[in-house]
Amino acid sequence: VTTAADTERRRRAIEALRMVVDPSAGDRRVLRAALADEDWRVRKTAAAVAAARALAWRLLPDLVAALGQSDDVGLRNAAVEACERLGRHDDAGASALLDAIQRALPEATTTARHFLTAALAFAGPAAATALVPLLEDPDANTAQAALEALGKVGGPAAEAALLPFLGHADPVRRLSALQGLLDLEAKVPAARLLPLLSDPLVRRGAVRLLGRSDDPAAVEGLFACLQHPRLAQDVAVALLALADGPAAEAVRARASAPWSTAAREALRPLLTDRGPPGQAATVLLLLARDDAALARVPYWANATGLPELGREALRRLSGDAVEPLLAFEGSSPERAVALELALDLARADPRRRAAVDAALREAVQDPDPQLADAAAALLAQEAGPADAATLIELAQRRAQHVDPPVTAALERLAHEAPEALSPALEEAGAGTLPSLLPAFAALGTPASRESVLAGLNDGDPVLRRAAVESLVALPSEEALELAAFALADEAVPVQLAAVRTLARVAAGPSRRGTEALRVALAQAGAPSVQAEAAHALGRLGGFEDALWELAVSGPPLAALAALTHLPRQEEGRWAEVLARSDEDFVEAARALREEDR
Amino acid sequence: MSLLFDGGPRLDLSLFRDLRQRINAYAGMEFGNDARYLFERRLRDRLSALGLQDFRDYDHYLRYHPRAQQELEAAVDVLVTNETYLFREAYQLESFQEELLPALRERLQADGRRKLTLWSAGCSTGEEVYSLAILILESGLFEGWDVRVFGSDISRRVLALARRGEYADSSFRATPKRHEQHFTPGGRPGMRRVSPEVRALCHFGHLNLLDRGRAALIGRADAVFCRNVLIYFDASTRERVIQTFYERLLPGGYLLLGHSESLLQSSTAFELVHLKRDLVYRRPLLEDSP
Repeated sequence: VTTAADTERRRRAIEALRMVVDPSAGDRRVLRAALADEDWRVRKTAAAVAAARALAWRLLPDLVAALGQSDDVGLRNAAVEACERLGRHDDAGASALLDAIQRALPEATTTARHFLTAALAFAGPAAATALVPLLEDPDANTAQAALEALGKVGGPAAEAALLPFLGHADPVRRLSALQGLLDLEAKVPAARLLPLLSDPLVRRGAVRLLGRSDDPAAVEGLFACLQHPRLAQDVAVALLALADGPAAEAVRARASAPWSTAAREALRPLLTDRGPPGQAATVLLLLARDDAALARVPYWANATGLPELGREALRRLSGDAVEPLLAFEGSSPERAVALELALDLARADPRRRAAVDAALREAVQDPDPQLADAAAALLAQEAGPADAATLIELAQRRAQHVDPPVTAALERLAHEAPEALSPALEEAGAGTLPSLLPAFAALGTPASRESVLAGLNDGDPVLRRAAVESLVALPSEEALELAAFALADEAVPVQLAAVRTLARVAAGPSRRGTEALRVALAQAGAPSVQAEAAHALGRLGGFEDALWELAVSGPPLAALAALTHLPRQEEGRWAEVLARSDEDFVEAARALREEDR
Repeated sequence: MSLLFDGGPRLDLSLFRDLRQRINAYAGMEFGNDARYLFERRLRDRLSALGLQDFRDYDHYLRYHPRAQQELEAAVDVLVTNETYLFREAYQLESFQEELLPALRERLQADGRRKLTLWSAGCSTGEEVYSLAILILESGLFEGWDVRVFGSDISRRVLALARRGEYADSSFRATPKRHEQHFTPGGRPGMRRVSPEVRALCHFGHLNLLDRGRAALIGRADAVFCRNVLIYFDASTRERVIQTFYERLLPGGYLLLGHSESLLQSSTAFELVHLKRDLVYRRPLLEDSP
């Protein structure tokens, strides 16, 4: 078959050799021949099989010989690929490859030395020692290959060997050394890189390395490079990277000092960029108190979150940033973020608070629910009695939509200022509106209690759910009793609310709540309810046996929820969990265990 | 559809036995061989609702479909007669109001508890639950107490109707005039709705009486009403359900069954209590140690 005319048949025959543990001379001959097959697909398969069986079949001398020959380029490429796979596979493969190449090098021809040197790139960090003398090889190709290989093998020895080449007279060597250090993500002292900023061939790479240097001495040189519009993008990214480490203070100080017009002009065009350069330009110009940068803040705050330096720049702007943020025009999520940032700033600058509150009240009326929701959540955070009417109106307008922040704010106000809230809630018909019922219940009046009880029995599951959530306002024994029974509700959202209510109330001395949660854990019809009960009991603590039982035999969703609360060290129990037949579950469980470890 | 000449799917004896067994395992209900045509007639609607050709497909659905459990529930729903009415078996309810409620109040008060809990097991469309709540309110014995009447049923459909609490005239055929004040005009013509004051005492939930663990969600009750439900169960299911009631009742709590039902054939720790017009069962206050 290995000599068949059909390529695919030959390829499959070679693939089959992978299974041979004890090869005959014929098997070796066939594999060697396949590495030089006329079809690249066969050669590729042969390279993969050779890499997999190289140590077991003692193939390395053959592969190294193939690297060193010049008669068949296809064979050499297949050998290179096999060596790369072997070196990547494990340390033993890399070490064996290093030995084999080192043995072949003294006798190798100039051409062979070049390719053997290049193959040392796959032999791991230990190959650096073998590569250093080759940097001085009389053959320029071999010396260059050694330099490039050092950038791939990595390790402190490789980095140390590359550094002197940054100042090499040959620009190609300088560039290779720089590229190698970039590939190795090396931290190079700024003093070695700053001189390269005047070298047009390597300065872009030098800027990138400076960004990784963590060296405060890099900052001034990088700022100076902002004058070059073509470098501005890399410089901005490098400065922001420096700001994330020990050089942060130097970046902060320099960016806050006066800027040259040229530097500003170089960065401003980057503000519209939606990648790292745009983010870096925004943050740096924000530190320079540039209004154009402020207009980009909501975009970045929404898209990726602002880096710490950007948040700090904003804090420094303080109240001055509030007005531009309130005037921001963009997508609804960006406008919502702008409002949130403005509110944060107004907390520190009370003179701006009235303007922010007015903007929030206007935004809650916005026809776009995304913006209105976000504004409502913000308004709710610190709402006082004066905001009650707005919040009630909001809740009334979307009566079926239980908005947790608004509901929580109204509940808080019901406790803090019941006299202000009570008439407004009664007038709004709060007893029958899911969005207002929890706040109404928090008033603790006979009428509100009646509304909760009636709500529990309503035909609308949304109101029943709100009523179950409102049970926390009732005396705990009664709340437990009713929430426990709500677990028997037909609607899953009501059952989920019951579990959450039981979890809130069950922390007390009564066993009724935890007993009901255990029933939900073991016997709820919906896995989501079992999962919620697992979280509740997991947080309460002391129910490990029940949680293990669920983890071993419950539905996957609930079992995973239980596992998040169980100790990682119990080997026997974990063995039972990981022996389940559901592969997806087992994989998720294993990942969960490893993650927490 | 003609009852005599319909051409709908036929349920053969062997499939009928399988279905019957499946229903029994799920809900404990016992059906004789004579129920085969009841199964055939009533379950045809389920076949067409599910888009199935014949009862073999239906059997397959109940065996293997992910929603088989829900379908069993729907099947039980169509096979069982849920018809009931307010203040059904009035003599028993009068005994409850005149003799048991005062007795319960006296004992609970002596124990320092101001909480009364009743469970209507198999409450169907809710008439019994509301009837009990009205009797408690009218007794005037429990003002200011925590009073709860829990109703449970295996059918989600009837629970939705129970929650609505709106009834047509036929549900009022045994309602004494004095109780009519607890109803207001309903949302639809000819319907009457239970008053909010009564509704506030009533709660409904989905329970299969065979599911002993979930019955714990009821908590402990002072009286259990399970009228005209046990008749559907086979003997062993009856034993299990009665044991569940026993566990859910507080010592001294009462079990009230339908007029045609008794515990005579059951091995039980309940004691018999003779009222003026009725017999009820009670969990002993002091139980023998095993």
